[in-house]
Amino acid sequence: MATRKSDDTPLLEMRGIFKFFGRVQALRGIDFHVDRQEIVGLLGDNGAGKSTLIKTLTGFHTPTRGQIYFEGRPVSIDSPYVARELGIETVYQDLALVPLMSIARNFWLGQEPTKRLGPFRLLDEERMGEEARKALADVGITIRNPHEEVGTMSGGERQSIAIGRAVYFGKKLLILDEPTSALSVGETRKVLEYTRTAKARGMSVIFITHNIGQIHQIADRFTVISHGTKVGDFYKDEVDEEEVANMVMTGEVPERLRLIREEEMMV
Amino acid sequence: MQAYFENRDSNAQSGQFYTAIMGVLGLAYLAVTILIFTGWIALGERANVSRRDINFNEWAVAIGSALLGIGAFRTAWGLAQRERVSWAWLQWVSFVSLLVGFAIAMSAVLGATQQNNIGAPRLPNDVLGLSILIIAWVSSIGILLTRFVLYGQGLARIFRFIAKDRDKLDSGNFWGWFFGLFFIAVFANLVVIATTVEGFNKERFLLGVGLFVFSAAIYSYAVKGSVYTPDQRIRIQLAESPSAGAIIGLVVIVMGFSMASDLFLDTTSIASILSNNATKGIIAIGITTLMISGEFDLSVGSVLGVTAMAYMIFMGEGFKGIGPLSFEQQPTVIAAILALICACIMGLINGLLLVTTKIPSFIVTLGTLFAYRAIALVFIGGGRILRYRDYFPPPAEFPQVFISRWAIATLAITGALFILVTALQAIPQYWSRSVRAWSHIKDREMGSVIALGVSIWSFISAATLATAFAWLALVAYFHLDRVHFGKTLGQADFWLAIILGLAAAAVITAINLYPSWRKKSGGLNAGEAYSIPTGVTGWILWIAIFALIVKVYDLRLNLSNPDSSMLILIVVAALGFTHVTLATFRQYRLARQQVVAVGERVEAVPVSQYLRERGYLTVGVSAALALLIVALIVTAYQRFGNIDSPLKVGFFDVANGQWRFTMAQVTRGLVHVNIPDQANLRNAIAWWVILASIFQVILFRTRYGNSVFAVGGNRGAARAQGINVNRVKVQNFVLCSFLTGLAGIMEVARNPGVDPLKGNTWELDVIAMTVIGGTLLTGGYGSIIGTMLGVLIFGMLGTGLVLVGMDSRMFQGVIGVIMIGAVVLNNTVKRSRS
Ligand SMILES: Nc1ncnc2c1ncn2[C@@H]1O[C@H](COP(=O)(O)OP(=O)(O)O)[C@@H](O)[C@H]1O
Ligand SMILES: [Mg+2]
Repeated sequence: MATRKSDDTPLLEMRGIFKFFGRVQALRGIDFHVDRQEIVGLLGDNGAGKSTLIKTLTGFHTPTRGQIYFEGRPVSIDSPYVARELGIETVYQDLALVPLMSIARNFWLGQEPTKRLGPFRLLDEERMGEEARKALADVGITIRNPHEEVGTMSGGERQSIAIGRAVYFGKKLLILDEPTSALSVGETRKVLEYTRTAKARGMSVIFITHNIGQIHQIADRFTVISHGTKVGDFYKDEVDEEEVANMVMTGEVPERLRLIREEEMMV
Repeated sequence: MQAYFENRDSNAQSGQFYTAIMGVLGLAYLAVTILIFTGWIALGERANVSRRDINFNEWAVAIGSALLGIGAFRTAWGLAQRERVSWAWLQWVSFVSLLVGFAIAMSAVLGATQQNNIGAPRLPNDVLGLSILIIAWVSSIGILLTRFVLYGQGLARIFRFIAKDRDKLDSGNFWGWFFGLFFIAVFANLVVIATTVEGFNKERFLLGVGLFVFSAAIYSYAVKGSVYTPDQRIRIQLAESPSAGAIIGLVVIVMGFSMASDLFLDTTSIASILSNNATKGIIAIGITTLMISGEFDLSVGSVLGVTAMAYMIFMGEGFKGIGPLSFEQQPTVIAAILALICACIMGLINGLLLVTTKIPSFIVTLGTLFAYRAIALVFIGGGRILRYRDYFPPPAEFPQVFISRWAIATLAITGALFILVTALQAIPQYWSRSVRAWSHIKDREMGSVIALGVSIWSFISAATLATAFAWLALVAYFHLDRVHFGKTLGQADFWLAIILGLAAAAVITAINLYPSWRKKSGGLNAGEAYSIPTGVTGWILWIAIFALIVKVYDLRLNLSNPDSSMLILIVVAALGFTHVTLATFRQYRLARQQVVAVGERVEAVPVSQYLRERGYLTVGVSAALALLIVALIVTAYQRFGNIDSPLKVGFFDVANGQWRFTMAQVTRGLVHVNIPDQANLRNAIAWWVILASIFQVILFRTRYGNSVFAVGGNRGAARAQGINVNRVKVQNFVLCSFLTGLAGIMEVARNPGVDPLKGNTWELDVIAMTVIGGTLLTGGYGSIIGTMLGVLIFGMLGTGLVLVGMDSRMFQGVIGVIMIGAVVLNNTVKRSRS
């Protein structure tokens, strides 16, 4: 539907994605794309399928049907490992950290730095601790001790660490699934700031939230989905906050926007 | 106490009071040491007073009280000098004294119950004995868990009164009184019950209680106003360790049983506990890894049975169509490898079933428990037992393997080097700290000279220890082959050990100095400099004590005998190092605090600069390295003689043979610590320790280990970070079965016969051991060391309960209760962390 935009291929494109969990039809033929250096707000009511959509994208779920293109090439992302290799980092809503492990170990999970000891490779714990501390400080999170267990920290702290990790490792696409839900006002502002910084550094961001006011500040475009189907794509200057909120609630495109769309189609 | 160190006159008396008390305590402890060495105090049976050999308990007590005595004197000295450190010393000395007093009192009580149980096994007395035992245990756990300071609070008031410290006479809080009263009640109860029991040693009991109460009072006074008291330190340490419950449990069990029975700490009992449980310990390593990843394996018992059977069949019958392999083909090794492959396949089946069907591991492995057992039952039909001797009747030997001497020599040298490096890496670090501490001195030249002196000192220290290790390595090699190298270690070996040690120490010291040489790291601060005089005095003190021991014990030392002199070197080095290291550490911390307080941080003159300007370091390092390598190669040639002919070793001996050499042999008769022939120490113990160390490193220091914890701690989060959860799980199942297979082969090596029920119900024992060791059944948390403690607890319970005369039908019940208790304890300690 989004007809206006640059001529080069989008960073990511998902075409006709279906995802069924047994009889539950979570996604029913969604088309979704993210351009380069773009912040997309993915919106929808609870249970609309936002988390499922991004989990399908990151290889956490395999789509029942549909194809994903990354930088123009068809890819089959069949595990989160592949997604990370492609440069996609995600802060999941429900799968952030391992509570019984330390901050540093969580931070590096899956790509721990090692040092060689003869033929063996051992974790470089000093470096893990130091770099995790530095990386988190860079995104404005100060931690007391990187070897402290995550389980002893507050929800907000944990979410901050997960975000810091994604920002640190993300190369091309950053996905944030309701990142600000447990955060204070100050922390939320910081998250919005990193999101902009990430864009300035050349990355794209998918930002899922319920707070329309928040997303309206930073997003370039909104994708609204409802009950597993897409309602539409809208550039920020086309719609105001109120209209977006209405679409999220009702799942229907207002008359005014529909008219604009038709005009564009005719041109 | 604070005030005393701040030189306020009004409190001078209290300081003097405690100085005196510490002096008296120190004298008492030293007296105990001497009395034991002269034979006046006998722990355990002895025929006459002038007996020369000293048993293990006596060694332990004598050395312990000597240490305590020195500690007390040091404290007294420090208090007199108004040295702030002595405050901490005072806390620790009184803390340890308090534990010692408790142990003495308990030994009087438990000794009585035990005697009674065996002497007059009538029902009322049995119940009595049991209840005393339970009360003793409960109160000792209680004391370990709650703050000691509370017990002595009431008495502390009296002391404060005596010490004219009246302004601090607070009434104490509620819990202080409560615990004080509780404690007194428990002990009063014990006295009442115990005095009615025959064989109650009243004197010993009173002595213990007296010491306990006395020390508790001092302790509770000493810890007033300090940031962390010793017991808090211990508890913090415990709460951070996954195996807190197991540690406490082990302490309680060892204390309890050794007080209750003289036979418990006997070499024979310890040996049989270790040998009988080492193979289970090996399986427990696998179960721990699995459990940390959130799964567990009930089929290990059956896997063990099948592996043992497969090993025996492959060895005895060979394969269909091929027949038994010939002697030269090393059939036993091939059979062992094939059996291990079978084990791995069974593990693979477990793992694949789990990840493909997504059935919980409880169900999957319960199924395979039955299925695998059926394999053994089918192959070994009709209640038969496969025996090695049926396949190869007596004139035939047990299986032999041939190993290249080159391989052994290389292995021995590598091993010795490895030990050296790891042992020495730690020590010069402390030293390089003090080296830097000196370097703050303004006069550059002077500072450098002192620093150089310290470096040399540290070099000598490291060399001494290294020499000890090199010597041990040589002894270890020497005993590997009793048949061919019937020579004894000679003078030349002694010098060789020293040269090796010096060379290695040179390398290590250089390596440790290298980083600061490279990047001019900043010095620490002034206060650390104190560590040197403290260290020197400590060393002299230790040498004096050792001389005293030698004198008292009348060791006929023969300095021309290289082994005697080496032993002395080792002991002196070890003691000296302990002291110096501790002293350095303490001064370091103290100095740090001072610096933080004063805010001074003096610019350092790097020592290494001095060294570099003269270029000693580089020359030294290269020379030492070259020397080391040449020495090692030359030794290899000289010692191992006909190095091209392979060494013949019994395979069963390697896998799980009995250790036959005695301590007297190793030390050339210097120390009469004989390991009696009936003491059954087996090689499986060594394998267990080696495997456990390897897996501890794998779990905590590798990427694989990290993913194991992540998978067990939060499956989804682990997968989201790109970890292949299923692969980790399958690998863990295979690893677990592989370890079980190893245990199976060791079992066959110990007792070469396999019946179809071999390993039946082992899974339950092993899971119990793991859970006692603090590993969470739900995954994500645990440690190999904890599991090792769990194995020891499990083993000790079995043996200990027999020794205190408990009905063997009650074992399982007790073990069950203890297991639940251990888990509860673990959780309690964990909760106290937050
Ligand atoms: N693993 C699953 N199994 C079954 N149903 C699921 C699963 N995950 C999500 N769903 C269903 O898919 C729908 C979309 O869920 P989700 O993507 O989490 O919504 P949201 O937009 O709030 O993030 C919901 O109806 C939910 O019940
Ligand atoms: Mg969601």
